Amino acid sequence: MAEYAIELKGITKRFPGVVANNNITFSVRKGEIHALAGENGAGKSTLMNILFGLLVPDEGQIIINGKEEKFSSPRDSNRAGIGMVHQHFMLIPKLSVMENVIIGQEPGTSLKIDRKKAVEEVQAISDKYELNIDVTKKVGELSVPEQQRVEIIKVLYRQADILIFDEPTAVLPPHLIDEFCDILLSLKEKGKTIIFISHKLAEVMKVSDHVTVIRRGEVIGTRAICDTSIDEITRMMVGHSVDTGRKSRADIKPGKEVLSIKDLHYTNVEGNEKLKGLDLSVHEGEIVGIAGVDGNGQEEMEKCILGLFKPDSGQILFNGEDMIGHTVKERRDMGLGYVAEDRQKESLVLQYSVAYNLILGQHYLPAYSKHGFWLKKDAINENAEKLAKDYDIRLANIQVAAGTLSGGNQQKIVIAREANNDPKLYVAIQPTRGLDIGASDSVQDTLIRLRNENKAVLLISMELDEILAVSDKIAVIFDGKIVAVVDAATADKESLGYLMLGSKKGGNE
Amino acid sequence: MFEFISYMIPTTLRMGTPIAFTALGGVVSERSGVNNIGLEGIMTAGAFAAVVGSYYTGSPWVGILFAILTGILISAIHCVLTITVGAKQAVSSMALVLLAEGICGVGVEAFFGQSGSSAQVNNLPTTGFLASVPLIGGFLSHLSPFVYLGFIALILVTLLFKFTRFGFHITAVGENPTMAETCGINVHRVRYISVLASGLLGGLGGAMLSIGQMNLFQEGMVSGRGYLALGAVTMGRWNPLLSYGSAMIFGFFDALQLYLQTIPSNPIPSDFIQMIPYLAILIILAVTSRKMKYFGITSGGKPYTKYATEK
Repeated sequence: MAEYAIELKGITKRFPGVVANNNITFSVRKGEIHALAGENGAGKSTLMNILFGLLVPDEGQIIINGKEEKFSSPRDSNRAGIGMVHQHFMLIPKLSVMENVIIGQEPGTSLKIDRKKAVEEVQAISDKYELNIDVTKKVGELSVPEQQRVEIIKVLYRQADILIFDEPTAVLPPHLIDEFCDILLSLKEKGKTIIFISHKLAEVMKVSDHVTVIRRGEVIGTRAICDTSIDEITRMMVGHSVDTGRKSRADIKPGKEVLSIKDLHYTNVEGNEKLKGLDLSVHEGEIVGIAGVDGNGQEEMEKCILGLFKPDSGQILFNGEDMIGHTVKERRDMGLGYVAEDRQKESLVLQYSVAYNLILGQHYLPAYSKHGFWLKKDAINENAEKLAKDYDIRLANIQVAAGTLSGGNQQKIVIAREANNDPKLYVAIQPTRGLDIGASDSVQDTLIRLRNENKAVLLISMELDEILAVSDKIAVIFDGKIVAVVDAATADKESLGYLMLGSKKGGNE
Repeated sequence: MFEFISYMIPTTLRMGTPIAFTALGGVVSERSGVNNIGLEGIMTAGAFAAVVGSYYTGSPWVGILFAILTGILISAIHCVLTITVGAKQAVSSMALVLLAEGICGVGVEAFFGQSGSSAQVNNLPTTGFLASVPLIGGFLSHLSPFVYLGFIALILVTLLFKFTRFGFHITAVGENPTMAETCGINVHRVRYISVLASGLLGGLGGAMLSIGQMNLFQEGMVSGRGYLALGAVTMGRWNPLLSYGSAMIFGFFDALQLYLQTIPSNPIPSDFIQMIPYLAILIILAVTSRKMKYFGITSGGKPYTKYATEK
């Protein structure tokens, strides 16, 4: 019996222009929970995709249970007993839980899938591991945490002994993270080996036995959890110490009300009422953070403010004037800055130069165009040089295509552009998603600066830590309504977590 | 009235079945995530190949075999272009339509030495093998064997999706190819087979036009039925039975326009009457398409590059 379930030796993977994994070596003992920590882009996912057989390493050995393996597809890694719970679930909403679980390994003959047996087997797994899933339901009807449990069932159905979890808690509200940790521990108890990828160190400390830290594609070190601390792991992850917690800010009183949403209702194409009488107010000189579990109406609210969605009823007052009925362009001209959730799809034209991206949506203004027709190249370039410097956008020159920059620098383009047009209201949706600590910090500092300049800022984020660190006020959204507004300075994470799930303070469901 | 019904039912089946064959092919291909607008061209090629096969061997059944093989061959081009190379599916499809029509146009001259239409060949006569069925036997004896083949195809495609492993894999591949791959399914293989199957069915649909309904090939004889079939797929929400039914609705309107043309001293010019099936589909699609997005194939129309080779 080998002592280690997984031994990785000298794994190297190069992509054009980058070394994603450089000589990675570490081992995972049988039956332990081994955390893999590192910043975004550190190479964790690449490494796990290699282990899962989705990527083939350029160099190095993978040894599973003492036997060297070469994986060229997930089928191979599956045969070796490895299963992966992906960050973006690999599920088909239209199909039932059972069907999603058995895909590729259907019981019965090739002419007739034995659905009855399938239901029994899959339900048995759900029951054995106490995952509480009705396997005959359609996946699309399940909540996100339930879907995650379906992914776990899927892996267990494939008789995996080694389970890889890729950022599993990113999709969970705080309240359910504990429950999820319990699931991990119970899997461990039943003899499974678990690799747990996360950059949320509290959970890492809570469930893991060992943690291996990766930075810039290299292993920085492995520690036993009992011998380390959050501070040490953070230092290993980022290479220097960082202070976490609330951002300092100028001591100013909120001014007049800039955005006032009253009794907003919105029903989507499928006929589901997503906003059910939402009220919200944002004043000058304050950051209002929207806390909530994804899918509770954040997107609909934000798109109604921008003007992409037309609400059924209600008012969106902007400095007293109702914005409904105005086009997106008119709203932007009124002073709306908008950092969309998906920078690549909604905020940038990746093929355009950085200089052009920095004036998108403002290109018709006299500052950048003559008679609204001829672009003023010099003014555009000057603007770009200035913003690149002010916002520390790192690039070779301002004429390179925006698509060639890193995610952090792309986001800085959007942040800078939207802040540059003297907005009255600055709406930022998940502005630090996918960014590393350095870039996140700079984005959050910009939000604070805008607030200090007496702008109204609305921040929508799924990261409760970010909401707590940046906001002045926190509005909790649940089921299409703002259910509570609390002072961010005194808010505590746990009670926010309960509010986000729609239950009253501290009450159990 | 009785006369009308006894005309309409067999004629609907006669006019609807070619569209239904092709629609079933469309269901298989689109469920796997590959749009195949080229079915129009596949029908044309199938119609032509059937005539050629029958012409040289004297047997319409060999003609059918030719049509099937030609349909598979043309969809194989679509497979290579869209699945292996990752070309835009719509562009590849349109190219195939033009290619097929061009080749058949030239082929008519090459094989038959005349332009516009082929020589007359042996066609597949209506079959009397169910003529002894009481009450409706006489009516059944007016049906082409193609109609029965159509029923069989419907049953097979339905069973494919309802029970078989492969049908299940087609759905998985069309909805989420990455997931299918991580579950050990060979995405490209499933798509290849699905598209080839659509070619087979499209070829059959074409064959029925030339050697089922008539006994020769005419340029332009498909006249958009391949597109109608794709409309039937959408209307039928990618479900084999509903798509078959939708094709029959188009067949009904086609039968109706034929019937109206037979009425003596009809004041409406026949050009307008011939518009009926196409107008009908426009109206039906306009009415039924509103919520189609909900039923659509999630990864339909998108090429899939294998993960391991992509990154």
